[in-house]
Amino acid sequence: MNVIDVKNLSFGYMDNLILKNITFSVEKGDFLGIIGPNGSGKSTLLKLMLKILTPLSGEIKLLGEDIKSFKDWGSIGYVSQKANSFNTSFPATVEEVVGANLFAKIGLFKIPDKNHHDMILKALQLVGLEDCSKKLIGNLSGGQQQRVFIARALINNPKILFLDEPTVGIDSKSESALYCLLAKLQKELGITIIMVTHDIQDIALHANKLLYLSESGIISYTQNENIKAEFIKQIYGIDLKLDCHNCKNNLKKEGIKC
Amino acid sequence: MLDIFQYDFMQKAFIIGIFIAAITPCIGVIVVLKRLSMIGDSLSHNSLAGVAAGLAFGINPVLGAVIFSIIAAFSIEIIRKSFPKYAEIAIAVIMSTGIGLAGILSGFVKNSSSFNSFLFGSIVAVSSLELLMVIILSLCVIITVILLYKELFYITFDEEAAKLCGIPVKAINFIFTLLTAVTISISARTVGALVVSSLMVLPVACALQIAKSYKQTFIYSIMFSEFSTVSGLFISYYANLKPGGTIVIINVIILICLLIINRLTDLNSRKKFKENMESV
Ligand SMILES: Nc1ncnc2c1ncn2[C@@H]1O[C@H](COP(=O)(O)OP(=O)(O)OP(=O)(O)O)[C@@H](O)[C@H]1O
Ligand SMILES: [Mg+2]
Repeated sequence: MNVIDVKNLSFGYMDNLILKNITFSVEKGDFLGIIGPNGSGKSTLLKLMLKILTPLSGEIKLLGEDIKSFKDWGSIGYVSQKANSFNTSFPATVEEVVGANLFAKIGLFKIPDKNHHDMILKALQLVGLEDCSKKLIGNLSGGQQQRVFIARALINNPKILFLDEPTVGIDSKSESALYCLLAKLQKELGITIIMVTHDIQDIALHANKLLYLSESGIISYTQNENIKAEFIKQIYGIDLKLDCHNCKNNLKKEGIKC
Repeated sequence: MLDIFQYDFMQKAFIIGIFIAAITPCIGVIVVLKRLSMIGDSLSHNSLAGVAAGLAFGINPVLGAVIFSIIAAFSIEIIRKSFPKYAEIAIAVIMSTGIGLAGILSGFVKNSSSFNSFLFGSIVAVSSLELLMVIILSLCVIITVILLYKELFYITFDEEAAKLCGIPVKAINFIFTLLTAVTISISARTVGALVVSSLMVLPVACALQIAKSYKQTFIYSIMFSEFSTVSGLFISYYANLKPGGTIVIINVIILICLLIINRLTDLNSRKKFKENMESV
């Protein structure tokens, strides 16, 4: 089943057309990497799929339903680009921020209970921040804040996870851990992952599909593992080292089980 | 029993003070965290224009204040959409409008002393009807803020994410704007249009000095607000001062004390650090 269907999608800000007639689909359990130069419209594409922006024309379906009538937003997780550029003097604890995504599920007029508390801790454990739950979010480092927002996106056990450059500012150990976590979510829970990144080596290694947006608005798309390296070489002119053995060893050295 | 409570008007003043002191920081926390601190001033000047309109044309002035302040609050929200990152512009525009209207309309008011009582408030001179109105409206504000506590927190922290997770952001923002307008206009009547804004902002500023979470910010703000209002009423009664101004000044003193304490503890911990480093 396709969890995301995008058909003939066009979008522009003012008279500046950014996305022209884009069509693609994502299957359940896919890990789609979206790559492309600055300003090519990657974040814009995510925002369109999240109904933050409205398309000029075309159709977007999430989980088989047109997003115009889509209701199940609880099953969608999103970490926006520069999620950690919030007001850092906001007096909220890590716990309060992560728990906020449960609010719609808890419902109006009701208060969180012990069960919800456990969910918050579990989400923080996934990103390795369980010790920081009582800290003020503004007192964490930029990379830690980014991980808090990833935890917030994971707390509802989303079916689709949208990540806009989540690894920017994260140390290499946490980055490896994040990719590990994403692989686990994808393989064990069948979560579909859509990730925007400039880290071509890593995304080519972990994603099973790649989507390239360019300034001219053209979109390329590959489904086949074998042509992935060829695809990257064609676009960026670099040779990919798709050597997973090496990367697993590196992870072991860092003390991360994968 | 203290002789202060022998008087009917002082009993009323305390009841009103306690209610107003509860609702102003409830609204204030969110307004300050949204960086709209000046909204209190803006709306209270518009409620002043409403009071002038009421007195001039023979409508209940408190009703006039509520209506003008609601219109002003929604105008700010509308103008704010055109300047997404510069909320101050909308607030300033509506504030000037309020001042202008208040100036013009006050020219039609025959009895200027009643108008002045709205400028600095008249917490010791409210009628039983107004007392009832304050209590009912305050209860509405308190109950709504408690019921929408978590939604208001999420919208204040990250409106886009709140929308995405399915919180009815538009409806809640509408309700909150309404509550803000109501809170400011009834507070303006009792403590004075010129000090409402301070009552909304100062207790929150104090709370932000010591709070370790959003929940604490909320609770401490209400505590500071209640403390300064009750002590302010006592002091103003015995020292024969204006209550509104006294309450504000107590708030300012608390804030200064907290700032000094914070600075001292900071210096202290630096000194300890240095000593520790030297002893190693
Ligand atoms: N709010 C906006 N108003 C007008 N134009 C915008 C807006 N946001 C983005 N754009 C334009 O749309 C284009 C695509 O922006 P977008 O943020 O989607 O790029 P991106 O691919 O995510 O880039 P990056 O790699 O830098 O994150 C850019 O040319 C930008 O100038
Ligand atoms: Mg982007």
